[in-house]
Amino acid sequence: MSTAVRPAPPRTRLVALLTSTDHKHVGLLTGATALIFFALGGLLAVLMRTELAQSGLQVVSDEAYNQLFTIHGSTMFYLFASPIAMAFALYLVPLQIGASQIIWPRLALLGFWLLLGAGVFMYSGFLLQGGAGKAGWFAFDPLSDDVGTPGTGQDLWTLAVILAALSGILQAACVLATIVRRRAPTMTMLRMPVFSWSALVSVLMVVTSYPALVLAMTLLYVDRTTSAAVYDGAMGPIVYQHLFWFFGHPVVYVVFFPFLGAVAEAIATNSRKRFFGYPFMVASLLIFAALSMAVWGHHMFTTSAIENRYFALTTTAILVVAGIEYFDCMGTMWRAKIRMRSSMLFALGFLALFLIGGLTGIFVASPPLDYHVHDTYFVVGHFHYTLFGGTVFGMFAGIYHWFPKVTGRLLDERLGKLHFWLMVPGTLLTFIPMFVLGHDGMTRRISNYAADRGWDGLNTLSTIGSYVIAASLLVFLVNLLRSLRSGTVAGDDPWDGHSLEWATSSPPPQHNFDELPPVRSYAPLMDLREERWRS
Amino acid sequence: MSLAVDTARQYEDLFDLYWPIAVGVMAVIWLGLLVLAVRYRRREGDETWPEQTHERPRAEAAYVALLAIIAAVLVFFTFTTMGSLTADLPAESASGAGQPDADPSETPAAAITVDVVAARWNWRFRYRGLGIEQVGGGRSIPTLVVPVGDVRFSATSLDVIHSFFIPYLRFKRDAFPERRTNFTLGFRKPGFHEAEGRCAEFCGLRHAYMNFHVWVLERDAFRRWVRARQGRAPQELTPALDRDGRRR
Ligand code: HEM
Repeated sequence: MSTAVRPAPPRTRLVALLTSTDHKHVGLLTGATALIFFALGGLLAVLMRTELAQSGLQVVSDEAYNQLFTIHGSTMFYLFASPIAMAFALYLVPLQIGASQIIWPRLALLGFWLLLGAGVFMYSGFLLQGGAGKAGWFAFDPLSDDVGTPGTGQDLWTLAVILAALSGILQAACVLATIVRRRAPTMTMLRMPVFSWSALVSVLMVVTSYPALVLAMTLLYVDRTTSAAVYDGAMGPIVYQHLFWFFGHPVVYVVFFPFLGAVAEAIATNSRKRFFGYPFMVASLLIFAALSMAVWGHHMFTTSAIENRYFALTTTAILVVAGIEYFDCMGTMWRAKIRMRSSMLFALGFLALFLIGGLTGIFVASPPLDYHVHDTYFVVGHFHYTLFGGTVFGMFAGIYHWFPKVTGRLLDERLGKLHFWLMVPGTLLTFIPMFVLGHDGMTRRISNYAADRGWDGLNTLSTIGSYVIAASLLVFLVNLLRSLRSGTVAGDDPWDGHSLEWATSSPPPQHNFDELPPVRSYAPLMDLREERWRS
Repeated sequence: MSLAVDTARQYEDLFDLYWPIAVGVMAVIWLGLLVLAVRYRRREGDETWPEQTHERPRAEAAYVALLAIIAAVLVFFTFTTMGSLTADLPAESASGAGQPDADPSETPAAAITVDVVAARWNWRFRYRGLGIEQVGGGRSIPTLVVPVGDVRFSATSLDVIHSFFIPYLRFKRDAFPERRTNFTLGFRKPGFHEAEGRCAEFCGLRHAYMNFHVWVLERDAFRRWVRARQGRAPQELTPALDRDGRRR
């Protein structure tokens, strides 16, 4: 052609990115947006911890504190954890299963736009006179109705949650359909890498549980804005809790599985061994997902309105399937030659810290124990070990592992290790004191506590811990920005990877693969290596 | 004295079964991770690949069986504790409440029933049949006065969900509007517990301050308190405390 090709001016490049239906672009946009919300939610958390460092009110009012924990929790679930899980799945699953594109790419893009809308709705509440949503992330009715919490901020919060749930459903449906219909011809289900399996069970749970959230919130919105009293009567608030937790428990596994998958890939790759116990792992993921659709009532042990024994049984049974995952991750490390890269460190941190959340989860699965610690800081400590020790550590294992694939550049290992060695003590210091405080009777969602309780010291420790976490995240931010601008060029396969995404360029071309290697197992690139060793 | 319901004791017994198991499991796994990470760390410059073992189905099946046994043991003891934890009575609807009123002088302590009414952001304790009410108001919190022994409670709310929580008894129950949540608590020793009772379910602006005192009296002292209290203002008979629990 005769006309010279000039690079598009920056503005249109941005527009092109924001409207692209390439699954990698949608995944990146969703992921980047989720990370921005992670930073915002983290900022709110540090504010809360600053207030709680001492008894009395120093920094914010009671009213503002209620908005802080509501928007922190809501941001972390609806705008960060769930979207970043979908982002990982959207970006990586098609690459791992040898697909060139996803099914319904425009729906996935719509999912991104809905997420952005949800964020704008939720945060614009802060600009209103009555403030943002302030009924907690699960907004129990009747506290969340128009009498309990009047105001536009709470209306916006309700709409934001509906948008975020729809966003999740759309993106999950795309991933699910892609796995069912777009696998490479020789990629049978039982040859899918562990990450893709973990993403599959995660999106299965999204499409089965998020509709309950959409329903609960839509009815709540109707209740708030019309004369209809949807959740009135003796059963109304109980019905709301069932609807909410039918979503609200599965969601904690939705935001856990993909990062368990990421950890599995990071361990296998850094150990230079195929993942151990693959059939057990796949079976355990499926049973795990099924079981976790049947445990929602353990959030309602103190209501006297459900059959506590049933939910205690299903919840405790989860330890069996969760235990398999530990066995398989540790089995992979057994007799290996482990490279202690940042991704491996975060994977180990995930196993060590999530364990605290898992074990304390078994405590609160026992109703007589939960009667005491329910709605105290014990529970706050418990779920932060699953969400921070689990989801966030797993996410960083995934980021350090796949960053070179996505950007073509390496993250700095020294900064990565500094990030890790700050984040581990930070996480212990922040959340361990919460178990003691909760056991001692400190209830959650309080801006203030009496000075004579003797809770000041432990709360101060926890606050210091949260500053250490914040510092570790700043190290990561520096690493991220530096590597994006001037990181070492990674090459296609810097880690000797196992699965198909490492058999294409970094970043992959629009159609993902120029040529697919043969797929004979869940680690096709290991097969090729073993073939080479034999010949 | 022996209590029919001893929530704190049952909690401690079960907790004492759970925590050593949890600590044991944690020690094994943390140690295992450490050993694996140190023992199988790649030596500097070693570019070779390790032996590819990626399955031990028998060992794994045995391990799964072990986990199932642990889960079964935990569930067994939880269920046993729940079976003997008689604190819970079936919930009834608000309109259906109506036990015959008790005779104040002859009432054995176990037959005392306290209707707990929660409303943003305070408590009211109504002693069924005794014509006594302990009410908090404004910034002052009420005192729940009970005799040593078992006491029945029936909790409800006038607005949003609250939760009746006495940390030292290791027990809480939610209070819903238009519903009653019934339970029994045993009080072992006499004593005054400053601002010990709390609302555990987030209920809005002043949730953090929705507390109450717990005052446990010997039975005789309780009977005297009832007689003296009938017809008199509560401030005259309970230790006077301001919101933060300081004696006025
Ligand atoms: C930077 C580290 C973090 C700190 C210091 C922190 C701290 C806190 C604090 C102080 C509360 C309030 C507890 C209360 O008043 O009851 C809270 C609540 C909560 N946090 Fe975090 N958090 C952190 C990270 C996360 C992450 C990563 C997630 C999820 C992925 C998360 C999810 C939640 C949820 C769901 C709540 C409950 C909100 C509610 O009660 O409505 N947090 N957090």
